[in-house]
Amino acid sequence: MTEPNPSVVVLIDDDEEHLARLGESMREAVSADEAVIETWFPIETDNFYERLEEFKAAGAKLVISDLDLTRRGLTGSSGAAVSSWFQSELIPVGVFSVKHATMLPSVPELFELRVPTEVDKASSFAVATLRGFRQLRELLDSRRDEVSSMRSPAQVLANLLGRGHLEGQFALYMARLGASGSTVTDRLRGTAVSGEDAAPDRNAMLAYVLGHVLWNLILRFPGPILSARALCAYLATARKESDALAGLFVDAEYLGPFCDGGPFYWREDIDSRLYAAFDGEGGIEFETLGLFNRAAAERLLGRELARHECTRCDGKNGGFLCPVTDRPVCELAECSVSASSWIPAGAEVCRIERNFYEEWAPLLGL
Amino acid sequence: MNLETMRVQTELYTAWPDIRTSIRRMYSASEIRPSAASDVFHAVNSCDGEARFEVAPVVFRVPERARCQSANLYVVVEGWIVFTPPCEEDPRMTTLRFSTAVGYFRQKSGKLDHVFGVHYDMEEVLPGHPVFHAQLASQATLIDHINERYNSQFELNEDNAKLLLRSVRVPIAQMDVFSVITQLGADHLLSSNSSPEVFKAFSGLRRACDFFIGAANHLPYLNSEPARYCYRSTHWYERADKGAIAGVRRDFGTGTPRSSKIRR
Repeated sequence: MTEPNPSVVVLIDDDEEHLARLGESMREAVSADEAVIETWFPIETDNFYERLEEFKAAGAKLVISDLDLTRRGLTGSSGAAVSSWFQSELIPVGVFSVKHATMLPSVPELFELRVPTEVDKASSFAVATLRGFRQLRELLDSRRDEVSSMRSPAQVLANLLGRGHLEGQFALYMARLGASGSTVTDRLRGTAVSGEDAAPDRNAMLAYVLGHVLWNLILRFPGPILSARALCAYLATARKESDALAGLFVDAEYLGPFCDGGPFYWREDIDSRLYAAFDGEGGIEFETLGLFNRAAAERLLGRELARHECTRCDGKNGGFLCPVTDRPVCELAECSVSASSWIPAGAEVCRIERNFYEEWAPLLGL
Repeated sequence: MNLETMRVQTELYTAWPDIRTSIRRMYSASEIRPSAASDVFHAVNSCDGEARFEVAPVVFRVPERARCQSANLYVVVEGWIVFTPPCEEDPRMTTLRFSTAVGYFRQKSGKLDHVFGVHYDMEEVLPGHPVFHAQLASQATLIDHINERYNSQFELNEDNAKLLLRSVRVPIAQMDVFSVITQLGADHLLSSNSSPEVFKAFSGLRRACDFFIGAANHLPYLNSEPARYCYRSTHWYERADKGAIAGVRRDFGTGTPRSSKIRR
């Protein structure tokens, strides 16, 4: 029998009460065999970087930090400094801010994670993150030889997820990886200068990079994989239908790394089910993709689906999700544009709502 | 949009990201605009129930040769294509008709020279037209799409294609939009000195563009001997009898042969 090898999760916060509640929530969410939860309440006499070194030495696998850590006088300490330090060690870091919620953008940089401010949601997010990175690393280690012969991170990811044919779609999300994280680029550059001995474990680096791409881009900006809210937009229906759709598309559910943060669905599996709904029938016409998708889902469900709240079409169309307004949009020109500069290249189910685009076109345009 | 058209659209939307990925892997500074499949392929309502797609003007920014360091060539591709269900021998859907226009523009000192223009067609009806043919002609007006896609104000410097004789119909292979994209990869992103990764990416590009087959299978005169193995363009002019065409076609349309001149 394998000995349990719990992961170390580090929580850092200068709000002692919030830290305690978050720690308690985390300990309830994971067993002691799965994770050891370490907490740090920084005070004036602490040595900031020594403590970070200690957590690394203890085997930290995930760090969750408040943005401002100076309440008890430890100057120079911040979530940004924590993030930067652990990035260079290829240890995932999530940052939150309860006191200054608006100071942090909701969408983080690629190699940083944004943690919800509510304790329960923060705990769920941290657990999904921990398990996601661990699952990815286990997958990589179990196929080490195979992975070492692969020529691109997209090929690795597609094959690890059992969908090698989607490599091209995943690759688009990774088109500008080199411009996304200077710390990670520095690690790569360091190996070129120092030689192979100084290189970090390749699978560790792959897990770090692919984990962030998957969690921060692919699962956030729908393309080959749809979140529950993206599925509702894809099927041109309201959010409240999520549970009904989860039951309908249980076979299409994505069960790979970070699935605890879901549910998520494979779009190609959803499409297969939708087309099967009308198999062999002729004379069926639909104006837009969203109309077809909803009609097919309604047929599979045996009832009508609720319309979403679009004022342009009264919730009739859909098929795409605007990641800015978080509302369903359709492909008609009066409704949305693709605005490729601000949507990851592989996110084929994302389009920018026209009203918003018109206002910000000088910034959002090509 | 009927169900078959929806199905074809899904195939187009699946192929497009693979095409983009392959081209980027062949030459990282290359660009394709627009990028989203939903901006490129537009299903056209058809009273025949055909799976017909307009291909919006797509601008490819590529180098003139694979070894060049700058992507100074803009190639605008537009057209349309009609698909029909698979034939018995091949599970892929097939082409019913198509038309493609291509304009090449070289960037030079802040202006663009129109350096090549061509219009690819398929013609089953008009006498004297080879079934697949090209007409070299100026496509200078396509410069507007470059300026629109790049939010630029390039002026046309020289139109080097304006004096070409338009009435020459050169018999060719089927040059639908996806054939043209494959050609762009081969002409501008690949050379004998390319790395194995580039060759592999080109294979990926060909695979991505091969999700359907050509129109020849429904044209009896291209499937009879010696046309089947000869490939001399003299056979491109032979006329099929209309009954045979209607019998071979597995259509959701009328089965009427048509001219496929591109519409402007």
